[in-house]
Amino acid sequence: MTDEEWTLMYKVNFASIRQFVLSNNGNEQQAEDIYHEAFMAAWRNVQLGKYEFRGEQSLNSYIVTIGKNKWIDVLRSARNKKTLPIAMDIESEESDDLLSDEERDIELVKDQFNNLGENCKELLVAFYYRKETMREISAKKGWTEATTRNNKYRCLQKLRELINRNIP
Amino acid sequence: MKNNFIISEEEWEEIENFLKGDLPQETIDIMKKRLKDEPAFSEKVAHVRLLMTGIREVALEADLKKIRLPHGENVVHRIPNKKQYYFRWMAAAAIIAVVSAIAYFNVFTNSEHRLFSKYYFPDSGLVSSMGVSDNYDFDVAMINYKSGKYDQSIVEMKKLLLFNPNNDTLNYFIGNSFLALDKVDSAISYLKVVAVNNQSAFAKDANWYLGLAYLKLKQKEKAALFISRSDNEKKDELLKRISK
Repeated sequence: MTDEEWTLMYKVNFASIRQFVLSNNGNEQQAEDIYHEAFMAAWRNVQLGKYEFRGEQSLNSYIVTIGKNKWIDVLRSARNKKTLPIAMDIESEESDDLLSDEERDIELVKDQFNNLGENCKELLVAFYYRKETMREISAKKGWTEATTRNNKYRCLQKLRELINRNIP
Repeated sequence: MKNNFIISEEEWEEIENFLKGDLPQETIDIMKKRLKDEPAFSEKVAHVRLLMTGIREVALEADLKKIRLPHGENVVHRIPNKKQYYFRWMAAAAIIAVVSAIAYFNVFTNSEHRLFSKYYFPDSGLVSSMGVSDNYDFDVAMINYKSGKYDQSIVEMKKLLLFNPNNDTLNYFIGNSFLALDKVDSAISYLKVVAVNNQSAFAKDANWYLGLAYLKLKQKEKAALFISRSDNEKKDELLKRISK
């Protein structure tokens, strides 16, 4: 699935999570936050090969399950692990908020990406996210393809330097 | 994160292309072997993948923040206040009546399933063969397809696909067979291969059926996207109804 397709399916499962959160002491904002977290967790798990994509129907169920589990975690934490007021028959998908090393590394990449200059951010997003070709980016920027290629590599090196400086 | 190794520009691009699957199978096999045999190379690949994923994730999140999630429907809470029971029952009855009326209206006008049923007609199939040496086998598969024996045609075409994995004709008719059998996810995976192949004579039709498949999954935005890329004569009419 392309990132464009992920974006298009963003609205699809929100209603289920919203119903669940609002029915269980949550508000609209919490429903949105939990849904966003669940959606991104599903996206990341697919990218890292932790969830094998078996079609969109299965993926929809997976996102909803993660979202419900995350909300249960919020309730548990808020109630200091007291018994929950409702019966929640959730499938046993992981809801772990404990980040793996790989996930922590991605968080570091994301943090440091935001510290790059605007030109670098724009170039890397165009290439990696919008899947624009070197030729398309060069035409937009008025660069030769060789320059675009060099600039992209320099931006990546800059990002790696920033990461190095901030490795905990 | 280990980040102290040097990756040249060429090596970086080679790893990127490997991760995107944009390399000849022979090169992919060599890279896979290196992944097994060379721990240092394996670390570099993992590093490039982390950076690519992080960059895409930042951009995806930024795009998602621009999307307004649908709020609005009332939510029925599980533990209502006792004093409000009577009122809630009345309200629930009223809501059910209204929702039923709306559902009735939708079912008979623009619900996704209704639209799908109205606009979906299986591709009628090919008369001639696809011009490769497996003509006879393909003709048999096509006869089964045209006779509505979709299960059979899928089995036969998949055997041919083993020798021509990117063949647009096979992918197109396997996708169509799955769609006819209501196996929508499988249909999507085959139709997509053709829909993105601008060189294929089936690309426009694949977009049409891909759009219909998403309509069946009630994903109207995706349905509209692919339908708009088709050239079906009913394209504009359907897009108009989807957007209602």
